[in-house]
Amino acid sequence: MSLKPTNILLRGMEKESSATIENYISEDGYKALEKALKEMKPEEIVAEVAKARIRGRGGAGFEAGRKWGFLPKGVDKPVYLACNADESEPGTFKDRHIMEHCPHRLLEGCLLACYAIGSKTGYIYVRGEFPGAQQSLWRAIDEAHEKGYMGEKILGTDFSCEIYVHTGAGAYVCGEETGMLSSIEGGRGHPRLKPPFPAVEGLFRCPTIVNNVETLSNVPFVIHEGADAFLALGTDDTPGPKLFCVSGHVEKPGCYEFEAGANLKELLEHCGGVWKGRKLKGIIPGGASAHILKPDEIDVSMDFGSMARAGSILGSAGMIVLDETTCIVELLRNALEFFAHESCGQCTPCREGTGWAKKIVTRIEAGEGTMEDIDKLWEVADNFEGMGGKTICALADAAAWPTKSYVEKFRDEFEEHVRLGRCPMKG
Amino acid sequence: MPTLTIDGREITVDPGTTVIQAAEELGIYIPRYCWHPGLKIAGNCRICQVEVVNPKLKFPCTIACNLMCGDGMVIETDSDEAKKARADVMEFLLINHPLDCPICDQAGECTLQEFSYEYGHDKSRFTEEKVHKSKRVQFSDQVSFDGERCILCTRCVRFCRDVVGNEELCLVERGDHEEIAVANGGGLTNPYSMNVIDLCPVGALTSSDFRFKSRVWFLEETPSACTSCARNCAVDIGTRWDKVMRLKPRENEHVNKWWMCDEGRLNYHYVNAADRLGYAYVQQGGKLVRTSVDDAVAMAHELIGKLPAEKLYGLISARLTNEEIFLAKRYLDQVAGAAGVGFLPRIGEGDDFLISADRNPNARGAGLIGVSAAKGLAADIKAGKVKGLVIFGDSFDHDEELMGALADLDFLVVMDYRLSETAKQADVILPGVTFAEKEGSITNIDGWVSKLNPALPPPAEARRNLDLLAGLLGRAGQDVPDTAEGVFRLLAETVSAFTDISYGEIFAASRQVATDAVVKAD
Amino acid sequence: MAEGNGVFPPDNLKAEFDGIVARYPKKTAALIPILMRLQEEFQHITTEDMDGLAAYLDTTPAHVLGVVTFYTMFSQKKRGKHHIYLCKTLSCHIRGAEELLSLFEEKLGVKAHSGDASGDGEFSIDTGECLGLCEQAPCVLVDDQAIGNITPEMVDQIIEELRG
Repeated sequence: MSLKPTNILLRGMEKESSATIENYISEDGYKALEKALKEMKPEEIVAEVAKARIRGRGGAGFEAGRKWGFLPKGVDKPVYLACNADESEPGTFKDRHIMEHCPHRLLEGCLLACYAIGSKTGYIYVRGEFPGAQQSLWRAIDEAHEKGYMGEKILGTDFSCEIYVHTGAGAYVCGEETGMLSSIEGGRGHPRLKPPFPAVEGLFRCPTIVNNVETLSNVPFVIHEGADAFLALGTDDTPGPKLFCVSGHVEKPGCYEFEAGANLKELLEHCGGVWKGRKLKGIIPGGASAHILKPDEIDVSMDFGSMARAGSILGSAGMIVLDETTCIVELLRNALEFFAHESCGQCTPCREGTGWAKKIVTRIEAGEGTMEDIDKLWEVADNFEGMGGKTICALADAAAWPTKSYVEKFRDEFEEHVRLGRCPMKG
Repeated sequence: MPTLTIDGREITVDPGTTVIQAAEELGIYIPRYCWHPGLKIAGNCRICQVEVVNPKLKFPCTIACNLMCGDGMVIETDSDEAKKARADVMEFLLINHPLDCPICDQAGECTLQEFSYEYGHDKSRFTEEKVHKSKRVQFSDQVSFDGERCILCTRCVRFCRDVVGNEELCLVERGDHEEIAVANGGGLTNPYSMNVIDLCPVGALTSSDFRFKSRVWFLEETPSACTSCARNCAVDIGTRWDKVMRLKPRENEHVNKWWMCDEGRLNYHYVNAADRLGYAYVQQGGKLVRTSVDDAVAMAHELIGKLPAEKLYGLISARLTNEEIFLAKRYLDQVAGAAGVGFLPRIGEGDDFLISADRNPNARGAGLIGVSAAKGLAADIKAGKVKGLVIFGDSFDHDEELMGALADLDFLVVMDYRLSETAKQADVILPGVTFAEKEGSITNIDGWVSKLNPALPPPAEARRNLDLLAGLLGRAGQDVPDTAEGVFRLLAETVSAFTDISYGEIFAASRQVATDAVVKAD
Repeated sequence: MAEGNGVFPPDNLKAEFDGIVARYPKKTAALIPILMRLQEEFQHITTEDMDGLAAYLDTTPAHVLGVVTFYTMFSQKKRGKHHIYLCKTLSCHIRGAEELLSLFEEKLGVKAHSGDASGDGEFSIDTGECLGLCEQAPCVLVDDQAIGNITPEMVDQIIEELRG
């Protein structure tokens, strides 16, 4: 499958005025909201979104429509929408692009979601390190109020809704949906035990739907153009458009929009290939949590299913390109510094294990490791991996996957560090 | 009602029961650090790993504390998978834990030690430098904290936040630098703070009161009840060298759940104090002279007999047991024919948790037996209406009015455990005992009857209060039992509120029982 | 208070904070947004402010401390007027972040994670985990401004411009 550009999620971003409501309206913005409020019932919105099978763009790939369907019926409590804009997965910056350049598309998506799930309040949790995105959203919220797309009796209907930006303050784990809820409530960003799931008991102990920025930004298209138009894009596994974040040792890093399922190898070529004419060492395809792919493994379609079959994850589609000069041991040390630093500290295996793994790899990198240390590193990671069994959230798994895959695929490089007593890449 | 299988045994449980609870019902103990029946589920320590038998699961193990029992579920708590998962968690718990067990106060009751022995690896693979954290932090005068021993189970944080309703403890920092802390310039101030010491599964939170007093395995623990207020929290009295070393709350679902207040917990030092009465005394020429207990009992009985009964008043402490109150009242009513009996009321500040404003532990029992709060005693003495006073188990050293009235009495007889200022005015002093040295029952504010058990022998020549009271009655030819059980039977025959309670029941369960009769008594 | 007048919220921020509180069904939810404003306004979070904020939001000082120490953007030590976050994670790391850090530290005369500000109180610097600016690696976030594609040659100029 060759690359098929789409112009939906970041439509108009090349324009200086892309973030303004005037520009958004000129591109059929808020037409979906108008259609929904005037012609469709909330359950029809849910059905259309379910039909489109929008898989969660935050990385888990869970279908948004199904999630919305989990809301308990007949509960006498407010329902909340929490939009996850804590985009913190290393190598990922697509949501920032949407918020900075096309904030109204996200707001329209939020409003449509609120209408569909019966919510009058939505919070967009934007990480504290994105002041530009926060300002852009607040401006857009003001504009939407002025034009009657937000607030009381939207477009003269009975639907009233407020969307607020809630700032984070520096914590990767708040990108985990329940960690985010803890943070919105004014607490440490500790992920919560599930069950209960947020749809049943989320924000302020009320039913809450959590969706990622890119996920919600797809909703206006689905409602305006119809689910079939959405299903016509991408792959059967992952329909629709998709943003791909390309960074690292690449000629033209950036945020690219293609139909989901874009071929990773072609994507790399589209971005000018490995920089400085160097050879490719590997690609981390789905953010720092993803299992590394070697050059012979990158002829793969970037959708959820294909990436899983390739032994990695689509994740947040944050591709980090690594050239031949990269020291894999150093890279793992850097990744484990990240995960150990971001472990919230709740669960024993993650709290203790990520720090332990970091210390082992640091020693190996410094040439002070032993062959046993390489096995130990892998085993420690294996011991804190457990898909919810060992830990409350997936942060430990996110640390285990790179650790195990780097050791498995580049074991010779680890051994070389041990043998030489130093890093072979640095003189 | 889901039916599931745990370790090959079927059990049907109420909906909402977790696997850790269901296993407990089967007598299968799953190790735990963060989970506690009295606290909200945190699911953070991850030690309670069990295997969910299901071939489809890539990772079959999960935590039992947050796993709801489902119909048809098959759980293995001791399979190879479960054991490996638990050993993995145990290894992580220990890597940064200091190896200071020999000097740790928790040694002997540390579940980290116990589970590590059962589920851990035999040697450490951890060769890195351990994370350093806060040591020797005083959270309050009574609670000290060692951050390196802490395993971050957050029981203490949850207790303060969710049980007491005062979020005084928090977690600070994150990852392997996370620690428990109090606010800057703050501390643990809530009146239940010392429960965090019992809750702490390791030696991170220790009692300044108990620290270094004794290794716990030398302590003898006696189940009993706290007598500091009308709640009567179930306790264990820890003793060694004929001294009380500590009080700890004991689980009782009706009275105190798992908790007790700090005031009650620390209110035992008087048992070990120097002013304890070890001997009987009589007043001779303005001086207290030691005499034998039997002689003192005889003299007391004689003094009481000399006075016209209408001039005699008896103070029976509501700190005494039901049995003691019963015998004391019988003596004053039937033998001495006292014009009045009553107890000294003690009112303090109460709360809506455990602390009762009524600081007498057995006012409810006294009331049921027919002893009510004394009124206008000082005035009656001043007016010459009362000329002889018998005090069973009490003193009023700080009541200036009553102390001032004592001079107007013809005689004063005191039975107490210490040589109080009140006792020093007495003509005869009978050496009795504290709660720690006696057996008997007390009735709490809600009507639950608890049992006290002797943890120590009476000091020197002091006698159990029941012996002294039975001795007085014996002088008058009344043959009464001198065991708590015997007296309780007599009490149950006489006072209808106690009729349906069997002493053995209180004793066997070491916990309170209440009958409708008691609860309905007033 | 940062100003030490013992009133929370300070007069100049009261209306704004009340507005933040009004967005939520529970007061405590306003904690992080308000702490962010305090950090921005006063370059640190003082114990006095934590106590005042706890009372203002019906929570406890311990709760506030727990939150302040969880998030990396809050500091109990006073940061410089301009606080620089230098991204050190993967994409920036492999494009020279470490070298930039030593340069910034040298030019500013302060060390990352020391909690200190430069002698004139103008600057402080910390490494940050991924700032989400990976296509512009290596990058920094200073105040409200993201600066990307930084080369060692640009460091002096960045500092000069911030000094104004």
